[in-house]
Amino acid sequence: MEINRREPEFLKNYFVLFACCIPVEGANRSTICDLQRDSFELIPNVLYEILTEHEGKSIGELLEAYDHAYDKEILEYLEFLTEKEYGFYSEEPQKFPKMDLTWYNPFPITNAIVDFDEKSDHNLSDIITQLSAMYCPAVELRFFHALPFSQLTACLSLFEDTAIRGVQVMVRYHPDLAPEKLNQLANENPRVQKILIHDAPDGVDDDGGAGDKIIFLHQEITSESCCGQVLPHYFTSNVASFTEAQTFNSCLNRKIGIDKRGEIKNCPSMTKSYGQIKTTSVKAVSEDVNFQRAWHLRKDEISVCKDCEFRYICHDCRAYVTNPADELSKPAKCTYDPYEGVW
Amino acid sequence: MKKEKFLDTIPPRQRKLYSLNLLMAQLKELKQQHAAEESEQDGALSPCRSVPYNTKLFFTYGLYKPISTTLNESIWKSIEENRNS
Ligand code: SF4
Ligand code: SF4
Repeated sequence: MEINRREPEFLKNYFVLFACCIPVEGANRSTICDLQRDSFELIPNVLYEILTEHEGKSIGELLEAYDHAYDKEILEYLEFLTEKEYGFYSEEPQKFPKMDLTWYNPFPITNAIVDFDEKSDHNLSDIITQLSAMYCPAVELRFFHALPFSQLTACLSLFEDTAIRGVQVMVRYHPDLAPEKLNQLANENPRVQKILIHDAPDGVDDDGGAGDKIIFLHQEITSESCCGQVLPHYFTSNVASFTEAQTFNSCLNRKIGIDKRGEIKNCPSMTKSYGQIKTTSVKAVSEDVNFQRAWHLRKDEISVCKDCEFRYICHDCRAYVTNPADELSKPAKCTYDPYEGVW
Repeated sequence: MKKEKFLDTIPPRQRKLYSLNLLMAQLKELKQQHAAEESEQDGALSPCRSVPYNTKLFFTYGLYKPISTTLNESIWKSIEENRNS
């Protein structure tokens, strides 16, 4: 049955956003972050206003609030949101409470980056043991130098029988790293989520036979200074990341970085070291209140980002910032201007 | 007839990666209709996805966000070109 949007009965309805679809206001435009579908929709700021400032009003009251000057447009907006499954009409909006945006996570450390180059002499086995004892679920190993297959296999075997649930590897190309061998290695190690081989020559894995977990790049990742990219590719719109970004830093919260010289930091690109891995325990560093300070630098406090509609789905960077003297300045590698809405 | 347990289908080395509940779960035969659908796809199971909601969050071992962000725009472009080619 066709709904007549002007019927008095219909106007008694309320428009309700699904709890997982959360509007976020920016300086020039807004988003609806869909935390269930890992996506977002750009919306005009006026629609944000309708959804937030006039929340709790029936559709009739809402149209009245704008003196019936924009009835057609408002009804079209609501129709658009219903069609896209961001919300629905209800006579009982009180039955659909909002999502609690508190971030909960049981792990004292949720992720770690461990860097190596050909001069590194820190002991991966010892690091993994320490991270596992802290139940760290995810680790990224970044090798800026080439590793033969046997060494890569040996590194991954260190994760067996540990509490670490996911491992990502980035390694420079070595002729020994054949796509089929890597694919088999990834399949035999369910913890391996991704192996990214950089600086690969042309022609390697052109047929894509290495499988989804293996990525060959022709470009070179020379050092930790390549990190800190801010791009929509890295946006994550899910409950865990969105809620974390409300109160914590979306990159550094509960992160451990061990740089290529074995220095324990918030991330390998940060300048401040909290001790050498050979002499300092990761646990002690992670409990240091000074170390934890960076965990609390929220997007809502960061210049420019605080006015950006992507602030709760964007991966922050505190190592490369526009003004190194100001720890709350915008990530240097972000080209987005939220005031103009252009990248 | 004794039903096969999930435990019996995975190598002993990997068992500790799974919860006890899952290990003890008994495997059921697929219904005829499902089996027919699968054989149409040459037995290949498509990646996890919830069609009505287009949900992609089924990673078993994934962190909910990127750990580091080392790939720049041009690298992403070439990854996408490779995927599409
Ligand atoms: S703070 Fe920046 S450089 Fe460090 S891990 Fe995060 S994105 Fe990378
Ligand atoms: S302005 Fe800030 S929040 Fe917006 S995309 Fe750039 S880094 Fe992310």
